[in-house]
Amino acid sequence: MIEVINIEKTYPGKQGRIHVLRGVNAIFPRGESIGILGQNGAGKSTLLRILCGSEKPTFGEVRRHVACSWPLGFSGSFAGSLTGAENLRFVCRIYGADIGEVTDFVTGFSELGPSMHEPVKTYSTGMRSRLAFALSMAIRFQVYVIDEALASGDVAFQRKAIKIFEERRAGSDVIMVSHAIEMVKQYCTKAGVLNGGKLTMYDTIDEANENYLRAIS
Amino acid sequence: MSSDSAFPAAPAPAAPASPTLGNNVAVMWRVVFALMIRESRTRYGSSDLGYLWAIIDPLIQLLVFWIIFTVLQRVIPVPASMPVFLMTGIMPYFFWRSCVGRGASAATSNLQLLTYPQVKVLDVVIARVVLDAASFVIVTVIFVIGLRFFTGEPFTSWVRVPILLATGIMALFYFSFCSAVFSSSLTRIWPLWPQVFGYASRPLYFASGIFFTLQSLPTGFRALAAIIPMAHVLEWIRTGAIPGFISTSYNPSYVIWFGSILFVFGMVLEWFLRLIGHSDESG
Repeated sequence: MIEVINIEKTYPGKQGRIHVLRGVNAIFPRGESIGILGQNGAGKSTLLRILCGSEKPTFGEVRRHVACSWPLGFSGSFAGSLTGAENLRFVCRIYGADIGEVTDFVTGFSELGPSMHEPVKTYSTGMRSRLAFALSMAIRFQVYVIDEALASGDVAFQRKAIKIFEERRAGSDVIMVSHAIEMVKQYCTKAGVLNGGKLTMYDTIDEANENYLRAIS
Repeated sequence: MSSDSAFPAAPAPAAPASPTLGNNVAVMWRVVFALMIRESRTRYGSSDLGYLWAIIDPLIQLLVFWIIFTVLQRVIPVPASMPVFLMTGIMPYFFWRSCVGRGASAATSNLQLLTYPQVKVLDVVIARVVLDAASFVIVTVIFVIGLRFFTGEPFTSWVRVPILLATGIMALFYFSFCSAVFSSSLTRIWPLWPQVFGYASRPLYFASGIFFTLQSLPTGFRALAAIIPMAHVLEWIRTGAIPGFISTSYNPSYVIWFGSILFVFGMVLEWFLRLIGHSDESG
């Protein structure tokens, strides 16, 4: 279960602080997969990063009672001067995962091959994203966090990503943000709408979608 | 290209961070260990030249002052050889200065790491100081052996009272760690701090007693120099290290108290920054 208690988030802007989240309260119970709908710039990604702990709220608190992934495919935490394998080992160490098993899995799944031993700064965006996605599939999380897309990369890799994610989803929950209802319907059991810095949860996805469409029109 | 159940199960379950103290300590140790390995790669790079620099830097300092002292025919205030006197000052001072600098950049140069919820700024500071301490010990041993080899300096020139030397070095580590914690917090509210310290460390370099001992100073100057905690640390280490040199001018509890206050101040500041949701990317 993840409890979000009165989250506020502001960023310093050129003309004063920008208020992104204005008092978000929610409970994400175990066993439910939840989608959050919102327009571009509504603060969806910010809320997601705060949920999984990548970013700290300005005010408020997040209580996490589950192992929560980073946003799938997020490669911003890699050190460019280190190789893919070295970055992988770092993640294994901080999560207490077996380095040998994870290395075997990621090397195979990401199709990076010998590039695993090249510095990440030499990688293309697609390669980084493949490494990040494979790494998040190698560690068993109770909650997987998705920001819009499951994985970037070519069609073949995306197909593979969708397939493995179906398997991982069996014992885990999903929290995703999106502006597209189709994906939310595919992965989630409930949904909410983020609008004006506040989150409203609905019992059904259709109900959330109706309110979302009303809010943006 | 692959059959339906081609993927192996996720091999590694990630443990949820349950809020027990034992668990927190275990996670912290894992993170610090991982950071040390990562830091040693990024700091020295993959080339061996990076590691070599850790030796070349103090070697240049030693040679420069050795030559200056010899040319000026300065007499050192302790019954020891020139390199022993200089090294027991240069090495600890450089260690401390390096720790303050590494503390200052702990948060800003590791922003991407802090996106992992289990990585805290304090972990980065601990990893950096421990790595520096390991480097300090290794480089010192290399110098002791090297000077034995090149100038015939006997090993016994470096130890007078082993327990005093050991506690002096522990005090150096403690004080430097506390300084690094303080420095890391201060940089986050005052981004100019690293530059300010850069200027401040120059006069401190001369005032901390690399070239003199507190014991050898006239009383007035001694009281002034004794404000600087690092002057006490150097005097402590030299009293433990240099045969025939016994100083009563250093105060161990001054070092410990000064360090502890810096530590507490740094931690309170860190806690306060967390409370107000300070984000480091804003500078």
